[in-house]
Amino acid sequence: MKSPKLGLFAIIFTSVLVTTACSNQSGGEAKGSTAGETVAVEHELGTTEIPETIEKVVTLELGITETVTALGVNPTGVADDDKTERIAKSTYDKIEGYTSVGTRAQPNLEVIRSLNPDLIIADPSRHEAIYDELSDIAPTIAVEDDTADYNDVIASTETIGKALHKESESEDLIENNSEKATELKENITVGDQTVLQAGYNEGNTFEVPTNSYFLPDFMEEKLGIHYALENAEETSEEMTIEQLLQINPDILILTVSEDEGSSLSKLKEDPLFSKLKAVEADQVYEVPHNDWSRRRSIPAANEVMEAMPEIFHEQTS
Amino acid sequence: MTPRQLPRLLVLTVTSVIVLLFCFYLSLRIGAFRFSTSEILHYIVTKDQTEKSLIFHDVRLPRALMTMIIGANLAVSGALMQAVTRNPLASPSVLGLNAGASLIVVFTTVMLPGVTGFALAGSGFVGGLLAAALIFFMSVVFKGGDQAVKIALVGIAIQALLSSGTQAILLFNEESTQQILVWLAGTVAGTTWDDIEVMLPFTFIGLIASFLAARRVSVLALGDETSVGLGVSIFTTRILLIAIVIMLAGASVSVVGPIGFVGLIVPHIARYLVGNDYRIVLPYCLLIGAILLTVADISSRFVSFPSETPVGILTALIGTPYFIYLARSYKRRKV
Repeated sequence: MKSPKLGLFAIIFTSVLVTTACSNQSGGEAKGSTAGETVAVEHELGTTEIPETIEKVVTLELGITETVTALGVNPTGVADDDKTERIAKSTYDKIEGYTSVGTRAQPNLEVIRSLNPDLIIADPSRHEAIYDELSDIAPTIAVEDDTADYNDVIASTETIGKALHKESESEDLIENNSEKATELKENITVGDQTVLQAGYNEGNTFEVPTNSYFLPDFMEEKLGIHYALENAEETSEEMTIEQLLQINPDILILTVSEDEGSSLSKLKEDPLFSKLKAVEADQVYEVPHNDWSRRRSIPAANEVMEAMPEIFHEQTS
Repeated sequence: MTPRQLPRLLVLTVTSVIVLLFCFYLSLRIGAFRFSTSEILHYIVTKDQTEKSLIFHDVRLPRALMTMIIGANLAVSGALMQAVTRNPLASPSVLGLNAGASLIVVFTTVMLPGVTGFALAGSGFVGGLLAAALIFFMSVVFKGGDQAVKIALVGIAIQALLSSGTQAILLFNEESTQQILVWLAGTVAGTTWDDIEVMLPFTFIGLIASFLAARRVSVLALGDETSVGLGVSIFTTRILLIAIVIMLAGASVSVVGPIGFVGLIVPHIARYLVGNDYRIVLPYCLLIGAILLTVADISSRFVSFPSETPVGILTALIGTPYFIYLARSYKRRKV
């Protein structure tokens, strides 16, 4: 560094540049809604008038993207966190070629505007603060996904169906899922066994979804499974092996991230982990974290159900 | 220390040790499984392969010990930082240890997800070390002004810069960083004996070195001119003390995550109780730091009992009002 003062200047200057570049572009002129008939759709953040023909849709949550695609509309713009692997393969194959609008936490409003969408579907817990900016670009509805339980996802699917004018398709989607669940329920024999889902964290703790979380809630409501952790307010709890032992579920489902090695191989050496009933009965199953935790949609539930017979099989003892 | 103070000090020391032991006992006792006092006494001397014995020895005991170690380390390094910067509102985080460790740990988690456990903690330590080195270097290079003030100011600036880097990575890699969020809040849950083994050498060397340097610390706190007058080399003392802080706080952060406010508050409590002689202040910081963090950890277990809440959230909850009180009282004193 030749001159310390110059160095400091450079740092400040760069920071200012970066800050300016990163700040949100807000405002701009409102886009008049296209003439023609509109349909009023009620959603989490109010009621929005939506044009009768919708061609271009922007989706800002992963579960929403899946639902929209499953209803036969391929979204033009998708918040995919700039990581295509976040989108489930079944959905990705259909929508390949979409435009990424950035992260779900901070979607790029300029890119969304440039896509000239007819409808934006957002998540209230994530996008409430930018709802006005989004509405300024195109009619926007908000449906629960980020912190949704099973019934929230059903409600979201119905609202999306209404907004896309595909109400019968969304009813079919829900109906079909229900039928699948009923069929699966007859084929699994878990009886009174308790089930718990958990992700093993860096730092030797467990992230345990509660029965207010999408998949555990689905298992409880539609498959009659006894999920071992109840909490009406929080969707997940942080635990050590001690609390896990106290709950001591009969079946333990360990979710593992795609970029991590097996949790079981790390946990095998822990003498306390092997005290778990599920471990003693050989009823610990490793499943992909993405499918079992991040994806919250009807198509996700359908796909996860395919893996369930193996997990909830009859216990031969 | 005058002979007149001795009885008072004796009472204070005995009280602190009793309180610490009681906190240790509570920390061992409270949790999802119930332990009676007789069980605690039984398990502390015997170990078998039963569930309760294993929980006691592999979950409760390492956690209780780790909490005391971390509390002591952070408090002592906080006192050293306040002397080095001659700023009563300084703490180890001013040296960028928390921010540096956080940035590197979050960065490593995103870019090299295979790196976990001690490799990850090691990278955190290196991050803290680099940040501290950078801050100290810049405070030396910038001309003019008082070095104590420069360390504090440069520290705050660099810390903010590093934190914004961490925030940016978190923002753009939301799901990949979920696993690290608990560490980022600062937690002692899930402590293993391996963690303790890593912490012990840093703790022993750091604490002993700080007690040996205590006289220099007291002199340094008097001001640069006085220090020189009393034959203490300011520059080498500062470097020495900063090295100790990196050892104590840097190692702590990389193992349990950035736990704030302990290093800020405890030195004030210690000085309030025993005066300004760092030969006495530092051992008291050790005791009170261990007590404070253990109390915070026990309280954190009740937030959503029996589940865990990161202890760093609790210390922030206790620390923030105290910080405001301190800042206000210093302002008043100057006016």
